[in-house]
Parts: sequence; structure tokens; C-alpha cells
Amino acid sequence: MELQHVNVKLYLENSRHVDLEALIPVFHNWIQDQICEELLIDVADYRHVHAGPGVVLIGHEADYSVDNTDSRLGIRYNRKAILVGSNQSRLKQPLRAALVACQRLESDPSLEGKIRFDRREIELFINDRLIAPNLEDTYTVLKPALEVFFQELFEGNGFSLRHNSNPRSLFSVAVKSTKPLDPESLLKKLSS
Amino acid sequence: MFDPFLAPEELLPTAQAIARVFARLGEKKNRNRARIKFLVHDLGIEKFRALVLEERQILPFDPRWTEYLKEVDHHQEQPLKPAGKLLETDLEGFQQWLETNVQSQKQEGYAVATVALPLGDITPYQLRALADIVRRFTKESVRTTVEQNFVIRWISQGDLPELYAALRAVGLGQPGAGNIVDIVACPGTDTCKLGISSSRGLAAELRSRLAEKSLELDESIRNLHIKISGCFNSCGQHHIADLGFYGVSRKVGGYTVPHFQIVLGGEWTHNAGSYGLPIVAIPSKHVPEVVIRLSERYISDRNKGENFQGFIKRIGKAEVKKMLEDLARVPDYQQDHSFYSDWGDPREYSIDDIGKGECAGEVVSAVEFGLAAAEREVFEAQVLLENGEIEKAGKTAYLSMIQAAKTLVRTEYLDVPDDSERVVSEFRTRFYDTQKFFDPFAGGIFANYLFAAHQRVRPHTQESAHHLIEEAQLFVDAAHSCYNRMGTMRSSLVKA
Ligand code: SF4
Repeated sequence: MELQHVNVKLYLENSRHVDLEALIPVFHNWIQDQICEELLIDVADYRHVHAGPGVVLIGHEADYSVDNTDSRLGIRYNRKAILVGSNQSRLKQPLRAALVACQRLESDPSLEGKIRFDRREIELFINDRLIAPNLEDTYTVLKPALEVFFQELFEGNGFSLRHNSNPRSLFSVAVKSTKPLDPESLLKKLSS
Repeated sequence: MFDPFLAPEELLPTAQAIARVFARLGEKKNRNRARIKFLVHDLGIEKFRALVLEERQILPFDPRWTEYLKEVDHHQEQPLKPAGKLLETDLEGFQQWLETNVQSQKQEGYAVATVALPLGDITPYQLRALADIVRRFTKESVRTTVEQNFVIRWISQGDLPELYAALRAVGLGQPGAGNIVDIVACPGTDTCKLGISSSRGLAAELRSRLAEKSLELDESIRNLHIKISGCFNSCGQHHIADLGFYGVSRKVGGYTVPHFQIVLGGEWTHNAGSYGLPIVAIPSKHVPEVVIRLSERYISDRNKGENFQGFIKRIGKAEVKKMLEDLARVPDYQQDHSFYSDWGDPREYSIDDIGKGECAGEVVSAVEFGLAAAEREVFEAQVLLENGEIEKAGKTAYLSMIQAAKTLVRTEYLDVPDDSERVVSEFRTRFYDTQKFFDPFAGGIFANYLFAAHQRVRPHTQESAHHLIEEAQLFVDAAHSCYNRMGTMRSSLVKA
């Protein structure tokens, strides 16, 4: 199975204190400075939608958002453009982009340190029901590749995988690490 | 109207006959006039109808005209459950939802429920959940509405609390369907390349301000309709709202400032009984204040049983404009730069070096001055129309277009004579033939409004004067955009 349209969501720790409105100018600054590798285009505000996509920075190859799907706020990277390479590298790219986005938001002075992501959980989605229908079979096929990927990334730290088997949802797997993750070392590993 | 009643068997052959008449006689060269409405206008409906009926007579029979009719009955909606009676419940929020979102059907024991979507948005997860809910309570049918909501019919009334609970569980149980917080907005600058102002941004802002107040808002205000379009194209149906807005831009001190035209007098009921007319352009950031001011005045000054259109008609557009005049002014950039960006979008657009320099400075202020004068004339035409001075209203609307055209011509030919023949001819050569006046998407359509008005010899009717006032306002708005584009050649996007 060729993985495409991978989404990565990193949950926020203190989501009750997060003012999503403050993200709008921050994302506009990202556009003006074109600080990401993708072509960034516009900001869409969906705060009014119940358990919706929150505030979305629309890009050509990918969208970044602080997403509230399932009423859980998190930084989400939604890869839209096709990625070449192996499945391992197709997992690396969105995870790296999501982590970099987290670091940027955590250190943005205008957000006053209110954004901090949970360093124990990462959720992967495949935003393509044709490639990855949300079935047990899909999980069976993908599980070994995910295990290899996270074993290598977490360098021996324990972790668990949980497949969300609700057929109404996208195929997704939550990865929980037994120890808090260090974004810097994850990024180093993902860039190698 | 072509025909008040057409038998189902005649629907397709008549449509085919209309298409053939249009194909034969419709405009081929000028894309802007390649519409059936222009052909009907030129021929008159009687002649057009006669031609279509002639064409219908000679059409060779096609069995497909009627074959599909056998299937039509299969699409009739039927109830899933027997009729029921609504029993009392203390379910939180149910009563309010029931009052605003539910109507009894003619068929006893059944109801129609509206699922109100904020700004017409819904997630895929909610859609899947809605599909499950609809299957649970009906025979799998749900409709979308022009108000950007969903409607579910044939709900057994006894099921209403359960339906509400199911909708609320997925965030779809919002009350207020069809009232002042249920604002309709087109995509505007969010995703539409024709958008001039942020209709969704404004709608979101109004929605959150009004939602806070909704429960305490006076009953008469609660049921007003607000509709917003990002440009003159009316996808947000602003012309049939109690309070309608459409996006325009105005240049202030070298910056492009997002504005909305305030459209009043439209009627949502009686199958969109009347179209409103734009009163004044207000900077986006002042629009919420417009809504508050007009609603407060309506609450305090309306006569018993008087609806909003009746109220506006009674107090008169001149009075309404006076009420809003201070809001039409844009504060200096230094004083408050929030006016120079749109709702939900902190970017500012400046038109650098316009207004600086010597002669240019003079011409720039003269242009702004001239276009403002044209706008005043359009408004004057509205007041004349309101007072029943139909011919004068039409003439004034036409003169406002001449004023706007002359203003643009003066940027190239300072001493253009006042004579309208000359103004139109200079405008044609300098702005139409060169396509400088062309809207990037609508092309030369607005210039054609001027040329048609200039050639008009027939006396005006109420309808034609109303129509011309609308066209005059669009022409003046297009003149503003043209002037903005002339500056935008030297524009730069500045960081907020
Ligand atoms: S009204 Fe204008 S901005 Fe809005 S959708 Fe239509 S064309 Fe686009």
C-alpha cells in the first residue's frame, strides 16, 4: 500500500486556554514570510464549526491547522500533494512538518507560551479513503511499517499503537509513547 | 412570466423550443449580452412567447420528453413512521429549537425541522452523522436550502425531542433557523476570485455579536434576514434581505479600504417580493454598528405591526442615510488602522505613491471627489424614486453615470467638456476601447449600462428607473474599482 495524504496531529496540552483567534495573524505572518517549504496561500477561520477544523492555514501542497476534530485541539498537518519515495519517507515528511509547526507556535511571542503540545501522543491519519479504507485489514497491512517507523524514531522508547476502528472516521492510528518525547531529537532523527 | 401553468409533458419540449429560439436569435458577438434575458428584453415577452410556441409546433416528437415522468412518483417523499404527538419534555434547549427550527406540516402529526448551519458550514463527520439521523427518522431524504441549511421533512412529531437530542450530540442542534443570526454569506474573498470584501468574515463577526444578544433581542429584530455577498454578483442574495450587504472597495489616502454597500428595502417573503437598493458604502469594520443602529431605531420607532421594509419606506432613505453618514467615514490610518484591513484578514493593501507628487495629487483628490459626487447623485435618484418622481429619478441616475465617467476621463483629459455626448465618446475611446474600465471577470458589462442609458429615449417606468438606479450604482462602483486598478499598478502589499 502506497501511503499518501498522510495527516499528523499533535494534541495540545492546555487546550482550554488556547485562543484560536490569536492564531489568525500568526498564520498570516507565516504566509507573508513564506516560512514553510509549502506555498502558503490563505487563512480560513472555522471556529464557528462544532468540532471542526478550527483555524486553517491553507497551502498548495499542504494545510496547517489548529484543528478541533473530535473536540480535541491539536496542530494538524494535512499533506495534500503526492510525495515520492518510500512509505517511511512519506511518514517522515508530515511528521517533521507538524513538529516544526509546533515549535514555531510554542515559541511565537504573540501566543505568550499558551500553546504547548502533548509530548506523548501523535496521531496519524490517512486522508484518503480510497487508499486506506478504515478497516481492520488496512491496519493489519500498515501496522508492521508503523512499528518499524516508530521504533526507529523513538530509539527504543516504549510506545503503543491504537487503531481507531470507527468506520465513520478516517483511518487513523494513535501512537502513545511511554516517555515524553523530545522534539529536537525527533527532528534530528527525521532529517537524517 | 412565460406561462403560469405548464403541463409536465410540455416541460422539456418547451425548454427545447426556448433554447432553439435563443440559439437562433440570441446575441452571438457580445458575451456580456449572451443571455436569454437580453433577448426577452429586446423582443418583449409577447413576441418571444409567440416565437417559442411557433417553434414548439414544429419540433419533431421525442419520446424522452415524457418517459421520465413514470419515475417522478418514486421521488415523492413518504413518512417512515406513523404520525405522532409531541409530548412534553424538559430537554435542555429543546423549546427554543422547537420555536425557531420546526414547523408543522400540513399533514397532521408531522413536522419539518431545519438544521441550521453556521455560515452554511458542516464537517464531513457531521454530514455522516446527519445521514444516520435522517435514516433513523425519515425515509432517507433531506434537502438543502438557499439559506445554507438542511431541511428534514416528515418527522413524526412524537420523535422531535429524540431528533433534537441526536442533532445536538453532533453540534447540529443550533436554534435560530431563518432568523437574524442565521446569516447567509457567499464565499467572498475566502475562496472566490471575484470577491472584493470578506463576506464570510463579516458574517462571522455579526453572528457572534448577535448570537450573544439573540435571546434578549426584540422579537421583531430576531426575525430579520441578513444576507451578504462579497461583490455585486449577488450570490449571497443581498438584494432580497431585510439587511443586505455587498462588497465594494474604496480608496482612502492611498489605501484600499474594504467596504460594503448597505442594501435596504429587499423582501425575502412573498417569493422575494422586491429587490433592495444600495444606500451607502460603509467601511467593513463599521458594518456591525450599522446593524445595531438600524435595529435599535426599528425597535424604538416602528409602528404597530410594521415590518422592516415598511419602516424603511416610512422613514425614508434620506433619513436612513443621515443616520449612517458618520459611519461612512474612514478614520485616518494613523488614528485607527484597523479599518484598513478586512474581517478575519489582518492584511492591508496600500497603493503607494498615489496622491503624492504635484499634478498627480490634484488629479487624485479630484477623482475621489468626482466619484463621491456621482455616488451622491445615485442616492438622490433613489430619493426621487421614493417620492414618486420617476422620470427625474431615471434622469438623475443617468447623470450620476455621466459624472463618474467624466471623473475617469478627467484623469487623462483634464478639460473634457461637460456635454454628455462628448463625455460618453471620450469615455468609450479612452476607457472602453482600451478595456481599462473592464472588470477582470465581468468585462465591459458596466460600461454597457452607461451606453444603454445614454441611448435611452423611452420614458421611465417605476421598474425601469429602479433598474437604472441599480445599474448606475454598479457603474459608479466599477469606476471606483477602475480607479483602484489604475493605482494598483503601482500597489504593494504591506505587512500589517
Ligand atoms: S457574490 Fe461575488 S464574491 Fe460572492 S461568490 Fe458570488 S462572485 Fe464570488
